[in-house]
Amino acid sequence: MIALLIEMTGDKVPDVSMELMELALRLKSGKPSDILALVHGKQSEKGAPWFAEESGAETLGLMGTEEGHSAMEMAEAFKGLLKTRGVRYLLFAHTPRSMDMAPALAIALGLPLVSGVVAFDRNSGTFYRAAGGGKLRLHVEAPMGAVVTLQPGTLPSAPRAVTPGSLTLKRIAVSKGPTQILSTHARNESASNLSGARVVVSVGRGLESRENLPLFNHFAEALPEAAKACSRPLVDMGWMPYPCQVGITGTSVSAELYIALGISGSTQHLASISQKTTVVSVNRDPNAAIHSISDLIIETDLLPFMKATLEMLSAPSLQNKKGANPAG
Amino acid sequence: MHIAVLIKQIHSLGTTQIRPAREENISEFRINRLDEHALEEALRIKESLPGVTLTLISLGPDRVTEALRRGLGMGADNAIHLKAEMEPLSATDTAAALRPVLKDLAPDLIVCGAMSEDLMQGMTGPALAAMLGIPWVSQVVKELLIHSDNKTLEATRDAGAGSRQVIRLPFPCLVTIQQGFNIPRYPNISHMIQARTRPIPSRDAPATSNTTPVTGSSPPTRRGRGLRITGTPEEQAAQFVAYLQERQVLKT
Ligand SMILES: Cc1cc2nc3c(=O)[nH]c(=O)nc-3n(C[C@H](O)[C@H](O)[C@H](O)COP(=O)(O)OP(=O)(O)OC[C@H]3O[C@@H](n4cnc5c(N)ncnc54)[C@H](O)[C@@H]3O)c2cc1C
Repeated sequence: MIALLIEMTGDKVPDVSMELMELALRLKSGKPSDILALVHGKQSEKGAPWFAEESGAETLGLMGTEEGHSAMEMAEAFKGLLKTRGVRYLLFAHTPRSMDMAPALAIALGLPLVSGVVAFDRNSGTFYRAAGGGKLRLHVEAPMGAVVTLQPGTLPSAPRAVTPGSLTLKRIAVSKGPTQILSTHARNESASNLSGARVVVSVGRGLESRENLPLFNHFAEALPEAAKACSRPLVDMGWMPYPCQVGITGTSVSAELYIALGISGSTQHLASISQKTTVVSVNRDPNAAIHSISDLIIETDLLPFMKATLEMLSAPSLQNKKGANPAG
Repeated sequence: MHIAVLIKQIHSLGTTQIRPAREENISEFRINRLDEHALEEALRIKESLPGVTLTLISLGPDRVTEALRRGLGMGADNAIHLKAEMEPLSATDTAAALRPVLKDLAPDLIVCGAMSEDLMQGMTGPALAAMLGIPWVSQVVKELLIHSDNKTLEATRDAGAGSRQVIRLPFPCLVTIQQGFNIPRYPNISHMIQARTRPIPSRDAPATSNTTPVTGSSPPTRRGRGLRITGTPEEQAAQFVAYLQERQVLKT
């Protein structure tokens, strides 16, 4: 039996759920029988029927698992159910939440752990997992079963099922463990304007110092209709506001063009750049992981490159050609 | 209070080694950045409370003693080298190798980085806590608050989608640390001189199994054309501007 553990995000079934279904189908040579989907979290009673229809897999909507439980408690609650169903492969999305739950369940079920999977070859049964900071893929086999975390956006979605899967809604008891959640609060910062932008100019640690931020700002403002973004460390260091953060713990972008300046391309960052987005990477490391998704690779030191570009853009021949830039 | 800090040594380029190496250049290795943040937080606790002992643990070949010496130079009290031919490649294998020494030490608190820069699993801490049967909290983004009874702590974590969670948990427990709220210190010279000559106790890592053997490796699959532009910054800028014009980001 293969099980998918799908957590609702807000009141939505996340896109990655049908990518997990695709992985399950590849593991099962295309047959949706013997695939069990567990949909949990807020409004799972609405998400589970959708997933049963869409995927054709037997679906359990689990209620009573809304926020307020630690991963440890959740793993404990799921353990019994997964054991009685004889689950051999348990599939998660590789998200911060599953980084807590997947290892706990692997240990509870006595299964090996294969994390950060980006591809699967059904002929050889090989999982490809990201390593080397995204510069390498490791090939591993787990013929006797495994807990697998799949990098969102790396597999296509499974096709819509012809016949819907069976649906059961069930309340699950989560018992209180030793940890106590005292409060949960959102950061009170303005919403991100990244998700709607046509062009995103994003900067990473390659900027080297906070003093170089004005140069980046000029650079981004010189490109019409471009929204500013960054990698997580710049937000952590307080250089850029949180709504600018791209990645699994920030915002997703589906812009036409993503210009990555001094960003290495960790999987946590890349996972939130749409497959449809064209990427330009500017980086002095010829082997940076970001280059693997780039249309245009500019191998260079960031600062002289930004300065040279700004100079070109301010040349009179280009000045009146810049199009309608609201930022001027 | 006894705090154990887990530190992983990684290659400076973030590369992953898949077989034990015959020869390695120690100077090419460094401590995983997030583990340095974890160590910094442990040092802050040690400096703010009386009676705190700090033990570093690193799993890997002999070269990891260099990482341990740096940690001692930063101010840790003890270090243990857990000898293995190479670092395991799966979080549960790493946790299984670490478990016995932590069972013996029985620290009140275990801290480590939220993930390693090379393998990016983010799961070694939670796996170890689950194996030890102790509570854990991951991705802590603020100084830990140790309650005066020395029996519980409060941690603020990144709970995803921009939200923060404050969690209280009892000792013994494990905490994984995110970057952003502290700056790891440089080793202190006199500590470093002492650490240079200090023997580092070692023990063999238990012979745990390699649960998901690696059968090969390959570069990531390519998406996009990957056209490479070299030359002077001016030449590159000119090509970049032409590219933007072609895509109608800039008018021609
Ligand atoms: C649970 C978890 C969640 C995370 N979520 C996110 C997330 O949502 N978003 C995110 O971005 N990260 C996230 N991270 C962090 C992620 O793992 C990486 O650490 C981060 O993305 C790296 O940011 P970076 O590329 O800016 O820095 P680095 O990895 O340090 O890369 C800097 C790059 O700049 C290049 N460079 C340096 N100097 C120059 C120069 N002078 N000129 C040109 N190039 C230069 C280098 O070659 C390198 O490629 C998360 C981590 C964890 C543990």
